Amino acid sequence: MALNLQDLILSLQRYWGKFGCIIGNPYDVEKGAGTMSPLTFLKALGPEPWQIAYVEPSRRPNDGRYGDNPNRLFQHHQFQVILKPSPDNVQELYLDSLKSIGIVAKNHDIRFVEDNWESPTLGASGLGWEVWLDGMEVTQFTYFQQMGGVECKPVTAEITYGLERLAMFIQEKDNIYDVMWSQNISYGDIFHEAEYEHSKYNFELADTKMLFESFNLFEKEANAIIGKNLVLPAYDYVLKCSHIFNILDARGAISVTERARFIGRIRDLAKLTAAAYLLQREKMKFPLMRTKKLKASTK
Amino acid sequence: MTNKLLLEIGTEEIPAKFMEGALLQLKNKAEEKLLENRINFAKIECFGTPRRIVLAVSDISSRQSDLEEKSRGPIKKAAYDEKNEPTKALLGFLKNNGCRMEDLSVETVGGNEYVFVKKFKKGDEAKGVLEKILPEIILSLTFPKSMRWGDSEIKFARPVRWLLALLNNKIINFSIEGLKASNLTRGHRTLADRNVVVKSAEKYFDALRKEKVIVDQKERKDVILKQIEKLEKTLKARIVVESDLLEEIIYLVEYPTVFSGSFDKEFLSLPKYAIITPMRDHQRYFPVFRGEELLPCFIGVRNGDAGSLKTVQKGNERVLRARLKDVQFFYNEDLKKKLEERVDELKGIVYQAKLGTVFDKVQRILSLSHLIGKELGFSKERIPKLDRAVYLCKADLVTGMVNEFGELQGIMGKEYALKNGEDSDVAEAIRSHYLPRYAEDGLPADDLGIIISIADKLDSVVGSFALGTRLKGSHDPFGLRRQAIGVINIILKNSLKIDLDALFEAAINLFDDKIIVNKGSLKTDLDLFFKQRLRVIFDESGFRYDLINSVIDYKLSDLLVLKGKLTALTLVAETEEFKSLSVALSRAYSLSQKVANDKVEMALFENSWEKDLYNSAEKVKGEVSKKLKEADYAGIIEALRELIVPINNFFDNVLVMSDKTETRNNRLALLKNIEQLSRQLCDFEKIVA
Repeated sequence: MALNLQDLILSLQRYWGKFGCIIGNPYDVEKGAGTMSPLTFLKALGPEPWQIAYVEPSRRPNDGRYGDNPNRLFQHHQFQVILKPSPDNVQELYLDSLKSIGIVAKNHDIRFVEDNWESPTLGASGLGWEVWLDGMEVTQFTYFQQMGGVECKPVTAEITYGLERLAMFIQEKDNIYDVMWSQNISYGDIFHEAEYEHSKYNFELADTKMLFESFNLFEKEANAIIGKNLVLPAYDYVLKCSHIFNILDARGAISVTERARFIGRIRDLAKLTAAAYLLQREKMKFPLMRTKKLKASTK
Repeated sequence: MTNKLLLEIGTEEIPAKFMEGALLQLKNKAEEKLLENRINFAKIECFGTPRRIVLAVSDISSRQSDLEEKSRGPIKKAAYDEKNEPTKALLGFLKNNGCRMEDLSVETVGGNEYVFVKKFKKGDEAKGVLEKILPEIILSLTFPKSMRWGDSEIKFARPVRWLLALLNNKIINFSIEGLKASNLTRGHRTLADRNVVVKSAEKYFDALRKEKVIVDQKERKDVILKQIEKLEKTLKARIVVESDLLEEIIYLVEYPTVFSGSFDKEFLSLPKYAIITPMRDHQRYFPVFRGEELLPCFIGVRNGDAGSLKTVQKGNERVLRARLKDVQFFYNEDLKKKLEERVDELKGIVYQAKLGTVFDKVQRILSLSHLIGKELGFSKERIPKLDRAVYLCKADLVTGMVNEFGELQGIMGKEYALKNGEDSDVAEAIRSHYLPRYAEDGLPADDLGIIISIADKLDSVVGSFALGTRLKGSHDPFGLRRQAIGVINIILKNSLKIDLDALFEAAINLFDDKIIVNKGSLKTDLDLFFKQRLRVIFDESGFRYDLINSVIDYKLSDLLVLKGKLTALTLVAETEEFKSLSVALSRAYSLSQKVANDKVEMALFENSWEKDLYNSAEKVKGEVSKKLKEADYAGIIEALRELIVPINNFFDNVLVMSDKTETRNNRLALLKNIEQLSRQLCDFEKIVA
């Protein structure tokens, strides 16, 4: 019996937990990728070590297909692993993690194919690969070089498993909605209606006037809060701006020239937040540096 | 036994397209460093796999070659005192160089005698030198994009994880960022994931072969091609191996195994390109044909052996099925809307920031196309077709297929146009106006495509230049060089009589208020840019560089004239008579170029030589302008030949620089006439006799 999706999550959590990662939880503000969680975006900044693994539901309004397409989803689930600094054997750790979900490397064709990542809204970029498993892209592997406009030092390795893709692979399903989430509940049972409703809303019904106004309000609020040196509440509003932008984009309400401008506005906020966070941690004397010493002494 | 050096830089998977450049750099750098350090060798070879960059040097000398060096000491007078005893200066010099009196010699430099010592430096052991230069070589490598990792300060294409460095069976000791070189390598990532001791440089390749790594890229290529050949026989079909894709795959696998898979026949109702493109771009598969017919099969190359090949095949088939389903979806969606209904959407697509939308570009292409059509004497009846083709030429940019697969622009446009019932000439022009898309690509062969292609490309180049873009080095994001070369080649290949200079003017005017640079210098820059391309094209066609130089500094109003002149010059350039002509004319140029006055007064002639030259020139003048009109450049050369004797006689018998100002100026003016006359063909001063 092939692994169902929730067991897949549990296995990965067990594997990375055993390795030494914190097992985190999804962050409760809408976002397009696990990277946007403050547990990645902010923690990748500065010198402090950080190891965490968490599931992140990721909303991409443009990718919605009303539940009609077997491969494309408005919302998919990422399993995000953050290792800072990137360990020397990070690829081997990853291949080992596949073993923990029943994928034995030598029985498959596993490739690391160049894929560089860039997020213009986050002012972030990294180099790495997409990992192919018998031709299917199942994981995104990135060494962060820049985040919020700041050079990453040390460099963080980010491993992002596409849970739906992996589950389809393991369960040998051609349609995501046929994937079993638990023993007798399918992916479709849980998410099909949501896919339809969000697609309908994002593409056809979203009130663009309300969204444009909200964007402006949230942007203003983010700026105001950063001014008061409250990093996390400010960042929540940056995320909200990003999500609203994505809906407006899917709705076709943003022209090409405006698009670049909106992205620039979000990036400016992200950069401000990053800078404020670094300053804050510096004032706190980078408290997590102690975990680095801890690790060194156990070697 | 001869010495062998082996360096392996073990990395995480390096992007395939970086590899060729990296190996070339490695080879050059190693050669440079070895020679610089006086270490001889027979051969340097470089190898690459996704996880290793390898340097192998054979017959490397055990020691640096010895060095004999001479140093100059004090002047002899200061080296010895009156009793011919060494002075303090000389003794100091000897001490500094660690030499003795018997090492001294005396040599004369610039008229003065100096003392010299010959120093002999024995070469060091190669191993020690290699310990110093190998890290330098490694760190000198650059990549199109490089990165940092962990706490490292250095940058490389991807993280470096191990270093193997052996001189015969000895480890060359050095380290980079705390990573120490050793005699350990690693086997294939999934088939033999372990550390392996390599006993000597000699045994490196065989040791890795046992660990399922074929280090030599040429061998991997052969393995793939052989397996493909075998599969062709089994499938009784033709596998089309695109060389770019093969080169990429070679650097994606350490141990290749070719496999075939199939897809559902229903997808074959899609256009051929719509199947082959995602197969190649997304999955790195080769397509399979029987005759010209595409079969529902694909060929993949796995990084591994033949074990569990069925699983790999099945997985790949499933991925391709999902991909083709997507394609099918896009294609069917695209067909729901006619191309002409999409033209309006181009108003929402930015062509280049500050140059407006693609819709704006289409309007400009239309104006230029009309101008070109008029110049070429395009028949009135075909104008509506030209208009229609321009109107639709960019409409496929807003289709799902082209959005997904950019390189299908034009190809899908043609496909959809035909499905929409557009005229077949119009459909073909939608495709062909994009040609040439890369260096070896074909050119448009249809009249509509030719016109639109020139208009489109000129618009792109002029637009970028209007925004102040100037190309430096190999960076050319909009492919402006390729487009300029495309324009020139289309004109030359089809012998089109087009005033390129006037077209620059027209294209510039169409941008009008969007131009941020000085209009005058814009045109000069465009002229220069096209001339540089033209020079390259002529050069690659095998024309002599000096002949190219002699014709190229003319207005770009007619490329055919330039080519005609060049061809005519090339035909006679090696003849003695032409050489005499160009020598004679060069004599005239050397004096005439400094003067502007060309008014000759016969009354000031003092001898027959002057008169003779004048009369010959007048006679040739008529002939030259007649031949010029007939585009008979060989005829012009023929006519100019009449001048050889009179010019030479003139120079042999007349003193041009007479003391009398009037006479002198008159003679210079006469030579100016000769220069101007010959310049109607070319600049003879540029021709190397």
